[in-house]
Amino acid sequence: MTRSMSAVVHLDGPRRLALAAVLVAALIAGSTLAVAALETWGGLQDASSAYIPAIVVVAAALGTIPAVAASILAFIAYDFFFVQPTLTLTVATPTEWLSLLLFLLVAVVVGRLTALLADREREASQRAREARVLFAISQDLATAPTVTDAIRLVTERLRGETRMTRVWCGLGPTVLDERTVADTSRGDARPPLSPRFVLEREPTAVDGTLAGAGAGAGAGAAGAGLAAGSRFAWVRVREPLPPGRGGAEGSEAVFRVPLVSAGVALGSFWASRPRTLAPPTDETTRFLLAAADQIAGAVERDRLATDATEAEVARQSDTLKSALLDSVSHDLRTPLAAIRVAAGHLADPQVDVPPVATRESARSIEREAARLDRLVANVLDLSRIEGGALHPAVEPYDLADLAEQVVDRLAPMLARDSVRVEVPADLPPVLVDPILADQILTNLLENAVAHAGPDRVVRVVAATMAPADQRVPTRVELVVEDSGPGVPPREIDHLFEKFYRGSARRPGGRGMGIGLAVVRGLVEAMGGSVAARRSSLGGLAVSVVLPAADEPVDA
Amino acid sequence: MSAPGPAVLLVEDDDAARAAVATNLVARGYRVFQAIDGREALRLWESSRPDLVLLDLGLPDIDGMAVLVRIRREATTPVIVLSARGQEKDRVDALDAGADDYLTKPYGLAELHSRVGAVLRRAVGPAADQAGALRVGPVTLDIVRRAVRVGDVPIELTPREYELLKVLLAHAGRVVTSGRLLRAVWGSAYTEEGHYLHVYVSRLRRKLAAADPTGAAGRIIANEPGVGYRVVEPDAAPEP
Repeated sequence: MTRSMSAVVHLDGPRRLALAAVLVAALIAGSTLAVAALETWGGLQDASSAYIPAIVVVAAALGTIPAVAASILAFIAYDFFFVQPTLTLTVATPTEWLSLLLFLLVAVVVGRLTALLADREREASQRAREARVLFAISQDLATAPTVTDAIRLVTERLRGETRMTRVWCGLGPTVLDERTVADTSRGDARPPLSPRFVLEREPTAVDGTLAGAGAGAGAGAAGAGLAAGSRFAWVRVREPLPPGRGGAEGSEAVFRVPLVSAGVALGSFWASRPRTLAPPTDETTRFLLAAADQIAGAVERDRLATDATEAEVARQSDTLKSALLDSVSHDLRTPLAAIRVAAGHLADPQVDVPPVATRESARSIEREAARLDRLVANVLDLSRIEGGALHPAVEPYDLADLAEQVVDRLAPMLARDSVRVEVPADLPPVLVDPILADQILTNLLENAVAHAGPDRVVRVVAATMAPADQRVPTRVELVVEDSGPGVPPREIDHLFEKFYRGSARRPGGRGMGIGLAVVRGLVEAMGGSVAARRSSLGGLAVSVVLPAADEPVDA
Repeated sequence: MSAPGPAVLLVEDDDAARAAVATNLVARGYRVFQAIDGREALRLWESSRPDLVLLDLGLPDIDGMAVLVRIRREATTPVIVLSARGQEKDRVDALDAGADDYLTKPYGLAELHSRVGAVLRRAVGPAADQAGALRVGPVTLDIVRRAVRVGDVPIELTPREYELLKVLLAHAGRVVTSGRLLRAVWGSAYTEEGHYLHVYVSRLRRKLAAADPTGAAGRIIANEPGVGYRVVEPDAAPEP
């Protein structure tokens, strides 16, 4: 393989050589004619200086060696055509010899100086170009909204700057696991693999050239150079191929620059171009290397940021779960404790329970089981609201009926409380899911009763909200309020948040802080809204606004 | 209702739970005073001076711990703390503040009465009998001779193991927190070294079990996860 590589290396050499030879020959021939004219008609004794401009041109365009060659050619031509005896290479006098050698010396020195100057300038402009491209790459990475966008910009830019046919980038811990994130061509991410070269970095700088040195059998270095103080070399490799990607070698040579950050492989930066072209120049290699380094840094920073975000999300979700567990632990166990003791009492062998007391215990068990059921319903509703699994089946429903039904059902719990229901007879029906509406009013009543304070007054009021604008549909407001101590104004906004239980536990306060969160979730799922304010009874007033249904038209 | 039974102050903010416990205690012959919050609890404590306090830690007005501390300042009246699961820290704090035992909601009545019985027995008389011996199941610890027998088999204990067993037997039926055991046996510098305790307790259990073919002696020391240990009668299986 080393042989075919060297063929690739020198393939455009002969053409370049031929072109140079033609240019040198033409310039020296032209200069010879000029010298002849100057010596014949200009009367000059020695016009050999007329070759100097030609040598300067060769040196500037082609470098030192062609300039020296041109100098020697000019020396020979002058000797042949103008030194006595002419048309021979013989020189008659030592003086002629001296002047010829002086001419050669001047020609070589001028050629060399010019070539050096031209090299410097080329180098300077190349540096400027490199700086510009590297700056553009950092700009791409700094300004793109995501790392993937940045990589896409960089691959496009490099394809333009390096004359690669294609540039792409894959991220993954190994070559086989890589996922292509950017590709300048739309086709298959991996061409049928062709000669492949991996850029190897040698962080320990060795004096002298690296070149193909140390390249063992089966691996040939196709280029070497210095980049940011570290050496690199393209090394031909046989890397494992993804399944189905082997087979015939394509017409492209593929170059891979590993993306490495802190010793961890993050992926690769790839480029390909026809095998027939020379290996990448040092400049191209430096571009690829710089881009790879910058992308690796960006990918690593992005990964760290993502990890941090995920850790934060996980932490918050853990906090939420433990809040739910704490609440469930405390609040589901309280009715359970009452049930267990009441049942234990009925079964207590040391106690003779009279029938009246038996009934009371059984009633207490029933009541607490119902309370437990409401808590479980709330937990389930909350998970359905959170999981987006709530699909209300709305229908026109009468709020007076709803209130009556819920108050009846909660009667055992409300024994010592005064619940006043004020629903006007002409209230339009509301558009609700009856099951969810029942849950909403149950939660509101339970909450109000729990916080009604010593007066134990709870009021349920409903009223039509007259729309200011005819285009706005009519809505109905349902308010449940209590005579308790109420909630401090700064806490009112938080009442509908999950697990919010207030800064101070209020007398008789119980519940896991999900009742009102469930109310809000259910109301909003049916197109309504909730709000809380201070009640004229002294305590808290929770307002639920629901869409009114069209009045049935009785003919 | 011939002789008036022991007076119990029941402090619990949940109406249903309080009513259920009170009903059973009354039916069992206790005199029951009920408080729904900390203020009422302290008022009833002052006026009735009960023989036992059942105290829910989660009270709406003042912290149950504050009630406990106040009671402990004035008397050694047994206090059993009622708490929900997942609050081991509160439990240990309450025991360290002088509570005699705790119950985790939802507790059963059998459990309740076994704890109530244990703390009331401790309150009426010394744990050791007239001969100066502590006895639980087949295990006897002779305080005077510093000797331990399982049935009739004498067993050899190191000084630390002996002290450990003595503290546990002296509180038979009641929980002893890890901190209290460490302080009593190792001294106050070791209260954070819980792993000493696990090692010594399991060694003690092995020695007791080895001397008793039925294995009952090895089961008298029960774990109270997150809190400490409790010596139980081997046949009195703990409530599930």
